[in-house]
Amino acid sequence: MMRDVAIGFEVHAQLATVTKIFCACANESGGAPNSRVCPVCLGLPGALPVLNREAVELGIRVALALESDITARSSFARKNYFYPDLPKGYQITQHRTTLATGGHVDVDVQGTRKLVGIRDIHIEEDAGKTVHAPFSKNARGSGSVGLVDMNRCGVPLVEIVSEPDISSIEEADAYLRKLYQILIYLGVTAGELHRGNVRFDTNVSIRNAVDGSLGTPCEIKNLNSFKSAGRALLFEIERQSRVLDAGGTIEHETLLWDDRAERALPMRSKEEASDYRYFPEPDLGDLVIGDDWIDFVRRFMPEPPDEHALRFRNWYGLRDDTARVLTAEPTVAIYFEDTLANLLRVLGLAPDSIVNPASRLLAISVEAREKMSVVFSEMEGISPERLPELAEVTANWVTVMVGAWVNENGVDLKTLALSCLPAARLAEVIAARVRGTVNEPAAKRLLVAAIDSSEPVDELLERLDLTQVTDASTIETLVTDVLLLHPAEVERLRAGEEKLIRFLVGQVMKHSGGKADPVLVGETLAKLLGIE
Amino acid sequence: MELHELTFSEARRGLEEGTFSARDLVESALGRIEGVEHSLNAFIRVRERDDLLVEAGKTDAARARGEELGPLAGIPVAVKDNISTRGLGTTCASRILAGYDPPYDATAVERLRDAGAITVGKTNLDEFAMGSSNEHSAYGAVRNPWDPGRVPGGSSGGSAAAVAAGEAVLALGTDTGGSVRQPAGFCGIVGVKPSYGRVSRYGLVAFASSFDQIGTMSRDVDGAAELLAAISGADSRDATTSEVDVPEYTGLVTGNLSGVRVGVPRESTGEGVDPEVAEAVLAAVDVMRSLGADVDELKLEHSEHAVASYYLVANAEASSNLARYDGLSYGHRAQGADGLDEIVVRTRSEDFGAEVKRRIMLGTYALASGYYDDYYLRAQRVRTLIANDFASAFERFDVIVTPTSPTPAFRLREHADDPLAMYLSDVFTVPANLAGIAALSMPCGLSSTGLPVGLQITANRFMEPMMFRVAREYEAASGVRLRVPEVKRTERDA
Repeated sequence: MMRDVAIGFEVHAQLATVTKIFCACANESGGAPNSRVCPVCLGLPGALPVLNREAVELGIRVALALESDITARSSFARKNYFYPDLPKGYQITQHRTTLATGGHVDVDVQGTRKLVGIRDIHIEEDAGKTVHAPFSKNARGSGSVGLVDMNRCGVPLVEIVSEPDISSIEEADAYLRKLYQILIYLGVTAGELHRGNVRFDTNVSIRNAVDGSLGTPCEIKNLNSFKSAGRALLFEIERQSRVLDAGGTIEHETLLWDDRAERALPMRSKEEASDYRYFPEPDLGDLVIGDDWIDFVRRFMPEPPDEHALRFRNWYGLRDDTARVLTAEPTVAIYFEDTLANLLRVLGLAPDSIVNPASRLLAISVEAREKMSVVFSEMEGISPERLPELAEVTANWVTVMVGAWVNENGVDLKTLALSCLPAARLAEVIAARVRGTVNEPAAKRLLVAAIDSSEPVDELLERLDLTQVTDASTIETLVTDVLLLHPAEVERLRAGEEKLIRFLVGQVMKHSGGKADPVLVGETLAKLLGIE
Repeated sequence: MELHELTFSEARRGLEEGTFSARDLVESALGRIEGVEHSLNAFIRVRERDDLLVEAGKTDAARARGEELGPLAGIPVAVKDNISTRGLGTTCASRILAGYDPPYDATAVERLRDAGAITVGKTNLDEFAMGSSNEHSAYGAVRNPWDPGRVPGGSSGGSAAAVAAGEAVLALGTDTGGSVRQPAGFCGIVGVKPSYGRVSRYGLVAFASSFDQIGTMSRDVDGAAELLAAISGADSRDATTSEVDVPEYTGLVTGNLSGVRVGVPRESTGEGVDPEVAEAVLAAVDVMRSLGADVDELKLEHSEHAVASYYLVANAEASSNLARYDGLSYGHRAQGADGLDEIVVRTRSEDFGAEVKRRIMLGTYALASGYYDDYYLRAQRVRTLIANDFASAFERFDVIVTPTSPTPAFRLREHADDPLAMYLSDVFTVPANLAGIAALSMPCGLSSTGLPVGLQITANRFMEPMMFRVAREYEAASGVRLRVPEVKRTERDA
């Protein structure tokens, strides 16, 4: 029997600050175990935490993007529990008052919009890692030894707690992907899931079919990918359904997801539930966030994806679906915007001062957007239809042509944009096509050549002899030659076999070495054969 | 007069005038340590004689070259063994930290060195600063130099005994509920608990973080004041330090306290206070009055709840602060324990003393789900009421005068079976920690049995200059500066 479920998430994201949350150790990944530690993050006797403001600012970004209410005065608390990778015996987190409360994530589930409520957003420190390493020989024989790497201790985390508003596995997936996209967009986390930069815990309960009340929730921890979240939810919904179907009741449990075995095993049950004995952290004062600080963060904050897509529609007249494709990842969006600006410049539609507005001005901050909008408002000689047209063309190039090359060659777009194909160079390739200097197949060859060599685009055009033939008399000669070579096909075409026109255009193109303007060829053929 | 009998002011003048050298001063401290440590047990570790003499020699050479020296140049200072000192070990008088040598110095220790002081060694204390008698130490009890059959007070009993007996000129202690002032009172010296946030706690091994402050000890007011000036001020490594400027703490004696408003709470001389103590305190108040101070009675509404509130909150914080001692990464680990749970359980069971375990359990209980509101939260509310009492009292008064403790030093093991009686002896000292204000203890006489009586002077937060002024004037006018006692030779128990 199909049951209604209520799903909520706690999403933990490691914040991409320069230093750790309470000390000056570098916040990086990799390196030798226990190489990025100090008395503070090791929790040595007498060491004290001092809050890193950058961690707070990244947290504020998240709160602003999710339209949460930022708490003017929040506080830190100690969550007391014992684990070898938690050197102080407690985690510094936020409990009674948190950085922000409320807010929502706007999720698109197969075309239907859904708002998932946010309960609170808080910042806290990450723990270290326990590694079990086998050893072979010692007095007690072989076995395994627990080792602790404290490098991760004190890495800042933002935790985003949702309301249990999610009612299907599909919605859960859409929620996680959307929230992840927002976090990446805001530049608050490196976001590498396989490194554990972003981790999910979920709670699931089944709604009573009769009175609609929520059942006892169970929590599943240790979800490290969208896929494992989906599998874990399926596992848990089925498990709870089986218990209820058999007339049983759900006991509150915390389960740990085992991705390999694809099952969740109980960590602890209600009877042995951990009492974290939260109390205010006496080593840190209250976290006071005034409007000035919020405004400062807002000014330099990257645009969240939905706003970014909206701006692309408003500024460039892009279609909604195009804008969404472009803003799936900030790298693509920035590359698109730089390329478009360069294209407008190359075509003489925008001032020379526009080079790479998006990446150069960190586009993305309010300040940069204001500057860019001033530049665009000063653009001359561009008709209201022309900008959307060029924007769609540019979008097509970035996502389809360049996208295909990136996929085939296994290079990521950011690397390409920073090395062989900066936005300005891509813009010149596109300009050659837009101006009609090259035809479509030649443009593709030009793109590959522009990536493979460092020659200027106009020299490439010449060297590879890609310039499109648009001269009417040359094309007429080519067409005449082809007509003479294929009398039988001409006869059949005249007899009404219209599809043969495509064959003849192809033959002319072949005859021209691919350089003839295919539109002109079609027109000339029609004219010479006297067909409409 | 022998060198070890000099107060800080006398010692510093002698160094400046070239009457003796820093080497002489260190030699005399070491000689005294050799003579009385057997009876007192004030130190857990004394630095190597050669190292100390080399360091003192450098100060002397710098002085001879006419270099500008720090305010504490060449002065032997003892440091309580819960303040981190790199290379000197830091045990908190606990087995659990045996062998632990911190990889860094506490901010106060850095500042001590910058001021030119010479750290002679690390002093004994109640384990993790939990106690009022210095009997709860893995390194054995400390004895009171005035009567080795009595306790020196705690938890900074080692520091107090060392200064009182002339083993060091100055000492750093720590005060969470009276741990500098009560032993200072019992040992007849000056002990200061500065306002919360005045001295960095970075490197002070936490007992109860919202109360702990490093304090200073000396046989004269100026020594405690000068030492405090050297270690005070904001520290980027301690978010609870204050940005308020550090003013002058020392000054000239004027013989005048006119206009200074002195408040004396009724309970200062009331029930539970030893009559001799009450008498000595009232005599001290009379001296202040004779210097022109306006004296009036005062009532602190909620002070009867101070001890209960203090022990709930302090133990709650302690239960969390001491969770890190698991024998895994540093310190001592139970012998032969195997497996994570066994290592942790056995280490904590075997290596913490009874008093520490008692407080961890009480604190854990006060924070437990279902008890938090009734214990921790209610205690915090009482704490706010007590702080408010002081805030309104300091609208009417500049300082508040009480005994430091209801009685002079008690006998060893007198409260061994009654921890509550021991806790109640903190009745006059804990309020200042609850309210985060400044307080000091200084001697105001000897009891009929020859034991020092401590006078406590309390001032509002960051009003240390007023507190020192009253103390300095009283010290000069009363003439109560106790001699260094003869220390009777006794055999300590194991």
